Amino acid sequence: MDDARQFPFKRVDAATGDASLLPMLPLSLAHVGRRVEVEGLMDTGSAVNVLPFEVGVALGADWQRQTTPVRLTGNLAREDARALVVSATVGDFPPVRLAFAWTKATKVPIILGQVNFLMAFDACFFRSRGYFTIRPSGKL
Amino acid sequence: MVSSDVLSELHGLSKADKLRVIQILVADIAREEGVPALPAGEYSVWAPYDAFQAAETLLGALEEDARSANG
Repeated sequence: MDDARQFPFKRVDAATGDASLLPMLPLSLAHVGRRVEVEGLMDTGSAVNVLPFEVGVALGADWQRQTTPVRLTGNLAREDARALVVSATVGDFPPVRLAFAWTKATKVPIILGQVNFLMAFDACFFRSRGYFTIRPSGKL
Repeated sequence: MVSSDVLSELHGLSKADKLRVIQILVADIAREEGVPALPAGEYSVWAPYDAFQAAETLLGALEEDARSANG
């Protein structure tokens, strides 16, 4: 993976130290002329990308105009969700289109899941060494 | 016998409160039956690992997005 970029696992809870290391990926999201810098949780166990409500609002998305409902599962099934496609840039890679389940839930991380973050990027995790790598898959 | 008033109140609850009621009742039954249960509290497992219908919906949204960009 010569063209891969390396990112450190992030310690998200000082009290538990290395037990709380998570693969948090910094990325830039853009939609209707707005851009926000965020971190997303790389989650191979999630079927979909998930965008918390407040990030969609910060991107200028209008809930009423996003008419495609998305049925989530687990804890997220409690809240309505709608499909939202935005532009995403990771590091110096070319931007890609990412489809998110934009949820009304607010206390949730940005989740980068199988559809379609892990279709757009190939990822390798080296948890024991404290880093992960990604590179564009070239499939999208 | 559950009164219609109680049922009516339950139906009027938010989704989150309905789930909370279910959690409380499950914990009650588990305690009465001597079945070990998870202690009461929030267990946030956000990853929608089996949301394949949602995944299909998002793939459709991406196709439409690509058509719009090309058209």
